[in-house]
Amino acid sequence: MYDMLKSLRFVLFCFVIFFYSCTEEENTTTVIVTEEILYSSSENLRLLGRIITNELIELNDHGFYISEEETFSAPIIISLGSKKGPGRFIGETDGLTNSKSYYAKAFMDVGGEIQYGNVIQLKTLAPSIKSFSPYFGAEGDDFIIKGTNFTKDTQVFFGDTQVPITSIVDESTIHLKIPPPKTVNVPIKLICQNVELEFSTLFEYKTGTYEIISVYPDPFRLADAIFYLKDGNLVLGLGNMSIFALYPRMKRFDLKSQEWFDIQYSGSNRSYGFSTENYLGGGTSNLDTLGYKINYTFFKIIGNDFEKLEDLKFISRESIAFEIKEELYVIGSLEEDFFGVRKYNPTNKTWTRITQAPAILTKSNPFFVYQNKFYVVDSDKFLWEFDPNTLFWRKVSVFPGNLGLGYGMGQVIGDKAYIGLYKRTSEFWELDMSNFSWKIKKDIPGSITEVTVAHYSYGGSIYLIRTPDRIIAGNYPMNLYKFDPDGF
Amino acid sequence: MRKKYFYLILILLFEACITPYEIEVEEGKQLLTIDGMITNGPGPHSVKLSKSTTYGSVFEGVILPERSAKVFVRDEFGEITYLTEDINERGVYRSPEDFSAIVGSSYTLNIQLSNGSKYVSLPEVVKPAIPIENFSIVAEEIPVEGELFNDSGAGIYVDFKDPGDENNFYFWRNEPAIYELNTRPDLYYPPKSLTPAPKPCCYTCYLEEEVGNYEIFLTNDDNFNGLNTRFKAAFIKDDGLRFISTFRVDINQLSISADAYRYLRLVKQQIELTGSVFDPPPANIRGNMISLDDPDEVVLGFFIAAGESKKRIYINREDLEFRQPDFTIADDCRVVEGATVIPPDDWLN
Repeated sequence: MYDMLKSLRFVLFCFVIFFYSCTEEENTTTVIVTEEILYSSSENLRLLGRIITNELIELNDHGFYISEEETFSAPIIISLGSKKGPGRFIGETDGLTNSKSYYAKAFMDVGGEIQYGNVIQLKTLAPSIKSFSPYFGAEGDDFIIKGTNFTKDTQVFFGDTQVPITSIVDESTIHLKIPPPKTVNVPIKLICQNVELEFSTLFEYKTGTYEIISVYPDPFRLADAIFYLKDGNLVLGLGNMSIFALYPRMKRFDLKSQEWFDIQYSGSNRSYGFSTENYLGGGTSNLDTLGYKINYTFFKIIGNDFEKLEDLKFISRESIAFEIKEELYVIGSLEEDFFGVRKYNPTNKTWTRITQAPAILTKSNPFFVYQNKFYVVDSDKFLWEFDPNTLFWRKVSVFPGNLGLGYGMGQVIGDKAYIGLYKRTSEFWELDMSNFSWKIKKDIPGSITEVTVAHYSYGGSIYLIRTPDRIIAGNYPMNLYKFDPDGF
Repeated sequence: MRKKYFYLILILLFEACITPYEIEVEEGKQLLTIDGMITNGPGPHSVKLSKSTTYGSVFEGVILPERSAKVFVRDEFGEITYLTEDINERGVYRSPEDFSAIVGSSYTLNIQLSNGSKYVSLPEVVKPAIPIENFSIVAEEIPVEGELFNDSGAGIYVDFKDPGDENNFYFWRNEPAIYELNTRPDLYYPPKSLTPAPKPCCYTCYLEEEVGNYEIFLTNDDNFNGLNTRFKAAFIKDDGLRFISTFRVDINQLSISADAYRYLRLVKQQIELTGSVFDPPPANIRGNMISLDDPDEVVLGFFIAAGESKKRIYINREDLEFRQPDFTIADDCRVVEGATVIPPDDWLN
């Protein structure tokens, strides 16, 4: 029995020895790594960290330390809170100063013990400006500044006027509205934190102010009328007051007294006639579009009187007329000889067809005279120059604006021409005659349906008589506007 | 009678129902997939965003383009270039044409999806481009399992001098190719007709097509650091039409980062698995895109910023020792979609 028990013990011992194995104690490793700077700007920083471990750890807190000192004294702490297990984490802060060196390291709090990752050094970026647009605009227009690393506290100045910022997108685009002007050209300046940035080019305000100074005394809306400037008087009359009735009167607005006066005109009524400072004539004596009756009468304007001259020997309807060196030129007609260019010799009172135009040109095309040359915008937007000495036509520019429904206007002040205000548009353009560069002026106020009935240039201003198109029903006045091209 | 019952019992005895076994694949998440590259070459550069779908015996869904996202690249100085979505190719975002990456600068790709999720890449530094000095063309055969005849095509080998002062990583891509398309309008038969109706025009057209590279060609300079070397950069498969006359392709040699190389090498390993015991195990390849909302979210794909050098290569039929039999199109060459009789302005220049 004892032997059996001994054998059993031996067998059990052998079993224990046989099934014995060493269990190696597993080493647990937990590492925190400050992995990468995902984003840095003037004041923002986004860091990527990672916890690598082979155990199921539970962190009380984790995140990043950021400091200007390598010793991490007075650090900015990005605390991301508790975390279970390994993995990546991202921390962000927005309280940094531009162009400054910082140190950053990830941290984790394991059971009250703080462990840190590797330290990385970084430098925040400097704000910069690239461009602004538009370079030329008006109060209230959208304005965009492009650049880099704009800070939340960015201030924008137009000259010395601080402008509220609508939004800053991706720290690279600033949106705002153009403030009211104080001067035409203003520097654009930004202050981001302690950095002052200024564009080398100036912003230019759109200029041009329109002021209603009077209303045409008669309660009609004229069309296809005669208008001209004479001795400081803005003259308007004839034409038609409806599609059925010609308008028989002429009135002048004295710019000195700012009053309207009647002009005694004994000639025949007409629509679609031509006029200059010294002549008027042509057009139609009726309004029957199926059979116009041509008005051949022709007058010289002397003060407020009219001297009847020999009737025209050609048909003129909606012809362009202008004077250069006291000689009258008449171009085109909508009835015949569409391209004909005629000159009137006041000495021997004869007409000569001197050449022809390069395109069909009528009163619908804006035209003006500058330095003894004639300029006109054709229906394809080309600006033509005509030299009456050489009879040579040449294209000198292209009108950049909207042709609307035709019937634009052209006037000159000094070395600038003003073109536009076509029917159903409110665009008005300035053309620098020295280099043929175009610049848009402020739109004329009022309804888009307004048409220009008459226009004049006098004393550094342009005068416009405008009224809603007659297809708009109602009673509307004919307003006399004074346009100051440099006003703002 | 007994015999009939015997047969009936015999039939019933061997009767068995087969219940098809349906494999149910666990529905996977639709993962954001990014395929983007910018280089120092001329723009536009593009980034393609899509959502992956679960793979089973068939695709369980469709791979959807990720539309209406806000995508931009940002350089180390904070300068941002926005990419706009191509209205003809949804999910593809293109940089302005005048945008080119600057060698030595680092870039991150930033994405905000229409649902507000934000993603950013790890910074990628643009390495200097290593110029292709020369090239050679070799006709090559590729065995095709189960086919009597092998495939063949043009292997394009490039010569370049590897800089010795740094570790370099190379990746080659080809751009859309153009070739002279030769057809036989004189052999034209109208459909369902046995009467020939030869057409007088046209025998020769020019056809542009996307000829994808046959495999991923990439290498590092571990074995040739600082030396002149020759490496296979492309293989253009012969389809019987491409090499009848003249074929043109632009080869881009890209200097990529070590991380991009590692990523592409893993992708190459995975797509070249043959089922052999020596294959590397299938793996989930992590790219360099990170979700800002959940850093542990799996985002597929890689944003590469690379230095690029380009070589234009013309392959004539005489350059290939052997070719596939010519494929004859018995019609006007203009009937082939995309073919035009007008050669490109810079053809053979």
